[in-house]
Amino acid sequence: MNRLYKYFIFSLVSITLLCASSCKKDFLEVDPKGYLIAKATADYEGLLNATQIQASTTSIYLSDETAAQSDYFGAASVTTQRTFQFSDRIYNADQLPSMDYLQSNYIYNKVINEVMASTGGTEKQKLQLKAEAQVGRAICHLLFVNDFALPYKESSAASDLGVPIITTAEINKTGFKRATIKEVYDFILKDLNEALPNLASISHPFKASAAAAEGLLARTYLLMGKHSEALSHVEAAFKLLSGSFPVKLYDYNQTLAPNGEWQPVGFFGPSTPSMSEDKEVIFMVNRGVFDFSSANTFVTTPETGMSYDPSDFRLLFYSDTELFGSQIFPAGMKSITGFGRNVGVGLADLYLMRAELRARANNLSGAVQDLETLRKNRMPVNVASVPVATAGNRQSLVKFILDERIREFALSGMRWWDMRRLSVDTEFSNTVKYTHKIYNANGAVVQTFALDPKRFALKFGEKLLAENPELIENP
Amino acid sequence: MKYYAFNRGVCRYFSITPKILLIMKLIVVMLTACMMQVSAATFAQKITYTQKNSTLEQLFTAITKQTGYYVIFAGDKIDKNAVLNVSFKNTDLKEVLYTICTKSQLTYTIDENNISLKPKNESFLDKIVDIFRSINVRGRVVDKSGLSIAGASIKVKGTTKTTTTNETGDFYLADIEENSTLVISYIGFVTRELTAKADVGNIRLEEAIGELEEVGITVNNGYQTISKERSAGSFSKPDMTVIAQRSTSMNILQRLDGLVPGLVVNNSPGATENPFLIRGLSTIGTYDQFGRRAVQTNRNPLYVVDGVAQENIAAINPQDIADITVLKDATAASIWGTRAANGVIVITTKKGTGTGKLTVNYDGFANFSGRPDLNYIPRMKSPAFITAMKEIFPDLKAANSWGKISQLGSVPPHLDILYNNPTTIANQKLDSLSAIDNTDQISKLFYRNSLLTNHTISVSSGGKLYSFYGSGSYTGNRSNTPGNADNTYKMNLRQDLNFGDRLQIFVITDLSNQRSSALNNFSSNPFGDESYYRFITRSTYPSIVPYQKFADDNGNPIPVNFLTWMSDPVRRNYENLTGIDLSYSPLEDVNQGYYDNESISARIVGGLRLKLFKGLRFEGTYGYTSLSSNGRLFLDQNSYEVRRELLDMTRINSDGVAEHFVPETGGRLTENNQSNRDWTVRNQLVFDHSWENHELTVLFGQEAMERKSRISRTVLRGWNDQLQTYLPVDYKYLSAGLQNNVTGVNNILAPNFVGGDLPLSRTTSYYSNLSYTFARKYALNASWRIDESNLFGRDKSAQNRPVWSVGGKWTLSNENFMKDVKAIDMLALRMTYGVSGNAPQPGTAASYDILKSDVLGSYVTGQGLILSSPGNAKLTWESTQTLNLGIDFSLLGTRFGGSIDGYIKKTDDLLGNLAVSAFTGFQNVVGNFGSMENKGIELNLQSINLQSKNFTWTSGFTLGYNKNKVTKLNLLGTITTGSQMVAQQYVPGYPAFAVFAYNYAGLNNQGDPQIRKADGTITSDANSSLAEDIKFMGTYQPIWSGGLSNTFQHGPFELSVNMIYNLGNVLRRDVNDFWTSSSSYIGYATSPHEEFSNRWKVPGDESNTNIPRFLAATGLDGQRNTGYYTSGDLNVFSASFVKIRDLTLAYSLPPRLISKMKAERLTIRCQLSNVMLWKANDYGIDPEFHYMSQSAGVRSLRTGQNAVTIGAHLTF
Repeated sequence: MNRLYKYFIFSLVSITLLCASSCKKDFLEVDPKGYLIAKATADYEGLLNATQIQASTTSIYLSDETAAQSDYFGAASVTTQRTFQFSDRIYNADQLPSMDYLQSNYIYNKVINEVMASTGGTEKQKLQLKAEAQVGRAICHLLFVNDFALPYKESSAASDLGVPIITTAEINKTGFKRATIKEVYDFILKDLNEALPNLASISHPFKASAAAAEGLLARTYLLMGKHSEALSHVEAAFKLLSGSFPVKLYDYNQTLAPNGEWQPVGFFGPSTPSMSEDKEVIFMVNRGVFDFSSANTFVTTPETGMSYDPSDFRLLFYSDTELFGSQIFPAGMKSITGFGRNVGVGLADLYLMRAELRARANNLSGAVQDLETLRKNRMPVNVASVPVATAGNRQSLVKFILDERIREFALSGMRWWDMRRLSVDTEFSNTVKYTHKIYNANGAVVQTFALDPKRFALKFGEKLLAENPELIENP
Repeated sequence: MKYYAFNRGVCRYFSITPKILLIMKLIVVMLTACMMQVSAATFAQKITYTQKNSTLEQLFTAITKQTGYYVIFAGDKIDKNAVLNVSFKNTDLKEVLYTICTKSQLTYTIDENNISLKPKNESFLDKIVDIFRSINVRGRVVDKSGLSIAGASIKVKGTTKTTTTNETGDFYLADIEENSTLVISYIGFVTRELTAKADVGNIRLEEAIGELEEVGITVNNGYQTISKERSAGSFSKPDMTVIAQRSTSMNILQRLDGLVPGLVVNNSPGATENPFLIRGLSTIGTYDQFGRRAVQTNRNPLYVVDGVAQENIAAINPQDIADITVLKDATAASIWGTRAANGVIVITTKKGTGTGKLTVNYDGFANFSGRPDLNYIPRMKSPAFITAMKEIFPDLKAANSWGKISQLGSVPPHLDILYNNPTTIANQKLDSLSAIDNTDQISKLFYRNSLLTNHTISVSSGGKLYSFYGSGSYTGNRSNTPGNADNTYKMNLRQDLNFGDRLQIFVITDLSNQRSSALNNFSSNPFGDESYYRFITRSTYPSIVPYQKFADDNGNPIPVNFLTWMSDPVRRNYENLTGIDLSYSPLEDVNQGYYDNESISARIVGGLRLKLFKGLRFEGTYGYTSLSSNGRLFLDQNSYEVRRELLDMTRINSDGVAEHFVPETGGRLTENNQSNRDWTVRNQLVFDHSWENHELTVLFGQEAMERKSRISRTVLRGWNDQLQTYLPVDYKYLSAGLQNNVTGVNNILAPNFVGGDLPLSRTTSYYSNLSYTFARKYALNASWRIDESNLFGRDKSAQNRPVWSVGGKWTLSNENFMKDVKAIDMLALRMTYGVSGNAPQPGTAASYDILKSDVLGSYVTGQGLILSSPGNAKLTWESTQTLNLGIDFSLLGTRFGGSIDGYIKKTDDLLGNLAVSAFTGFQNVVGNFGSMENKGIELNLQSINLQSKNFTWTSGFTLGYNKNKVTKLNLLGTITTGSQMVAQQYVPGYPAFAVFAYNYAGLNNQGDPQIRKADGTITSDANSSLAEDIKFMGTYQPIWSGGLSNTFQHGPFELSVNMIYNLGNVLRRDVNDFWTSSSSYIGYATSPHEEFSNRWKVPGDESNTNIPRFLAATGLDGQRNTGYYTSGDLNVFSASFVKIRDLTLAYSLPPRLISKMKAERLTIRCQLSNVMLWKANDYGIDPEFHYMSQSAGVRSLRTGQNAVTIGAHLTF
């Protein structure tokens, strides 16, 4: 018995010794440096600081101001070739369509769902961060629905298939189902309207502001064909332009003058400010416009190329010569320079939107005023004014404004959204061209492709369908 | 006898496949062959003869009668009638002869049937011969109280001669060199060494104090050492003699090749992530966006040195290693917990012996491996190259204007000539280029002979209270890059203290200092960054355009400007604008900078053993390892790298003046610092008790571990290396990018500091282990362990997954009914089962979203948080179940022995890139994505084929067969297209590292590749292949691997030949990959594969060649699929090969001669390494130097082949 007792004591002492080194509870409670799990409000702010939205590039190759050159067509990737050809199939069965904005959407969902429970921030800060994320989520869904669903048509929006509405940051989720187009647009409007009261003024091109939300509401209603609502929101956006980051139009007459600050103009266009310093941007959504292999392939149509006044400074953002070469493109066709364009909320777009909406609402003088404000900053004043005959006619003024949008945004893919909404606009559907042409070195058309309106909705492709059995493919 | 490699067993668990049958047949053949050798070599003639005053003649007549040997009396000086008194009873013939000859001043020799007797001549020559004379030794081994010990082993040190004592404790050893050392050992007793003489009398063995280590074959799992009889686990021990002599690498793991069944050493450059696999792949892990495997789960075994897990195995001097045990099954390894799923390699370093004698050892070698053969890379030589370039030029020009070519990249001379000259002049100029060949120059200027040397001196001694082993070593590694140096200095000391039999303490201090330096080697810099500005790296030099020389006839460097990304017109334009010289001469640039690195690493391990009570003891192991290194790369202001950076940071102002944003003077200094600190604390209680027939060891312990590392890199610009000063740079401004600089690109200057603490990892574990043996017949093992770590962002519930194992062993040969089976010395059956696991490293995968900080000019505040890895709520540990069955055997007086093992290893919840729906925002996430199964057989055989007076031949054979199968993969959707299938490595139902290929159907009449689809149709359509059209070709991990070693000893000479083999795997061949206008432009500066000459050129060629045409227009090229050819079945070849890893001839100087030098032993050796014996392919490809990307194979230069080593080992 005594012996057993001794064993017991020895064991007890030794086990105590054993644990002394590392049984402390906090031994394992260390976070590896350089990594963290979001807990504080500041962490969520940090997440939003670094989240930017990329629009997919397919719109560039679908827009009707885009033409292709036969000499360079083969250099383009098969995907862009098919896109330009309005093919039913763009991606191979094992490829995914580009939906980079959904990765940003993951972060927005994370912030929306978690920030209110975060620590260390005031209620106001949390609400603002949540609102900023809601703006981001709204844009992501707007980009998403405009890639994969037909244009919004009031008569059928409640039954036409839109895209899945993604509201959780959850990696294991499968079985996504498409909501109707109306549900998607309602979701976008809801996010923007909920966000509005909590948003701050403009402080940075990548930070969502109240002006950005109003601008997006205007864009959304415009895409839905609800022009009066769009007009009231675009007006509201204009009222919110002041802030710590003053938004203004650049006067190209100065910046692009021979000794202007954007000179010289190189291979990649004028030396414009970086995206985060661009004063015309209200909320930046970047669309990459440079693709090395197809840099000379896609150009404006001859009509678009020739529609600029020769003294229009916007021509400096386009090139009539092959990249790194000396070949001049035929028939006035021009390629885009630079690397990216803002397709989010920008001041030029606001002016053009308001001009169009005012013109549609028969406020022709107001429309002309907006139009000329923009044009005066883009070209010498003597050619900036709108022709009198156009300025006095609603129909031709709207058409002029739509053409001005092409000149302002050529080859940035913005036109694709205009084409989509105009295709279902009874009044102006005739402004949409349903053909793509390939030109040879002499400027002659060698091939023509027709756009089937059902291709306003891109296909998801076999891979996404296989991943999501309940997903219904576009016809 | 050097039989330590007992393990493994036969496996009845499997259905017997034809392959297994084949193995069995092979074993039978081998066994038979060995037994025949044994019977031929055995002669043990016994004499019984007692006679007073017997004459020699009488005596030898009796011997002839009893043995059949005829006795010849050579010369007439022998007195046949000389009388002597003899008494032999069942005595060995040799002993009889020895006795007689000693008494009669005679010598004898024995050949087939005759015994020749000669008078002993005391001439000078005889005296010399006398030095080599051998003696016969007899003696008896007893314990403290004088009782004889049966079964003790007596070994002649430095030879393979061994014997064991008989039932009366007596032993007899014939033909031992006088003054050689005998090593006497027995389980439970302290090993003794003594000098051999004819009669050593009674050798008294002391009982081992505290049973520190058990003598004989033991299993060391890093936590405890138990005798082999008591372990049911599967383990292997390599032949340490072979390891000590291998001289091609100073990394001990590299030296294990072919010596351990089931351990595959894959030296192929493509196997960087899994160079050492035990029993196949059991974890996959994930890949980053560049296709490199990210550090998620470790594929390699766990390395344990002196009881402490350690990663930096290369820092251990192979000369300091006493013992290696490779643990393979669950029972052997599961005590190591989650990290043991890939097997464990346990290394024990040397310690001082308690003989009271000072032993000094020196070992040194020089390994000469020459320079690589550049012609191994099959590239077009100048004439063929120029011809081909002329042929493709019209097509090339049509697709690429001079403007495009010259603006986008550099233009090698032949293209410049073709574009800018009329055809006739161009042809003249090209003809002169085609006469130049640069191979010799590249070999001479950019390579040199490599040399690896090592010198180690060790001292050891000890008594009852204190013993030590210390060593100092120098390793010089002269690589084949001129100007590089790499020297390592090491000190290692192990001290053992015995405070009576209650307390023992040991401390190991192992310090290394490595210094390396290099020139600015126009290649990837030593920190692993590729140069931004030069697209040719060292590894691509052999394939550069074949006419380009680097030095003129007088040896002066030549500028080779096209090796940069700029063409001449562009370069001249920049030079004019900025005034910066942008020419580039590789040979000159080498000297415009230097690199040096110094690292110091320390390994300190301490341990204590305290006897608490009878049978109960406390053991502690405390390990600390640290590594700190500092490296400096200085690039002079004249180096191309610095000049080019200056260009990128230069803007031409509106007034035309060049403004530089980085210093114009001074070079660039990059300093790298790294430090790692790991510690381990382990405390355990061991209860060790034996009573009657029972032996029980129970162990319970707790272990804590921390791993911490920090890296940093600082870049200083405008560095004056003489004055050690730098110039300021506006990083804030340049981090947003220098808009509108000369080169037209928005150039961002990277931050001048990166680094910080790497994720800290901590673990606490509790473990227990039990081993029980009854009557040394039945052994039972069990182990259990739980690991908890600071694995970040993990649900606690995912952590509590204990690993465990159970195993049993039945030693049949100890059963009474086996006592009479004399041929079998030992026979045992083993079976074990257990579960182990694998977890991702901290910060890499988690149940929650893990964020990390990121800095970018365009972020709202310039700084933000990005998602490092999205959270996966379903994440759990990978778990591996292993079933092992084994047989150990030893036959014919332990002349032949070995083991056979069979195993099934199933891994579930594999960690890897789990595909998720793209709608979530991600395409994949680290998750549990499938299951895998490994089945295999391992065989280990050791035999003494011949053992006679002067000649010994021993063999060792290892074989590992591994069949891997991915049983389940959670793929979202299915693999539908052929191109997807060809890119897969892991497909359910196929082995890991699977190689898939198109069913190639030759070229069509346009020269475009075609495939045969599953339905038999032939197509050239680029996108039409489906998954079912794809052929499975095999796996690129060897299926059969192992080695065969043979050692022949003849007197002082020893010849050992160690062969290794890898069989059954396949690789993709390196083929032409120059199909179209290159978008990277590297295609224009390098010479294509020599098969480019044989490509399709005109219709009709399709009947002679399989190589597609060249099509300059990228658009047209995009409409065909050259992958049909490069990844076609015709380009997959068998990677099987057999190599002599090393062939060593060693000569030991005779002990008598050595003793005059006051030395004990001197061996000199010469080794030939890596000789290809046989390879299955006809392409001249050495699979050990073949890299495989998913689409094609790549040859890398062969190094270290047919290397010669000269070495010596001296013992004082």
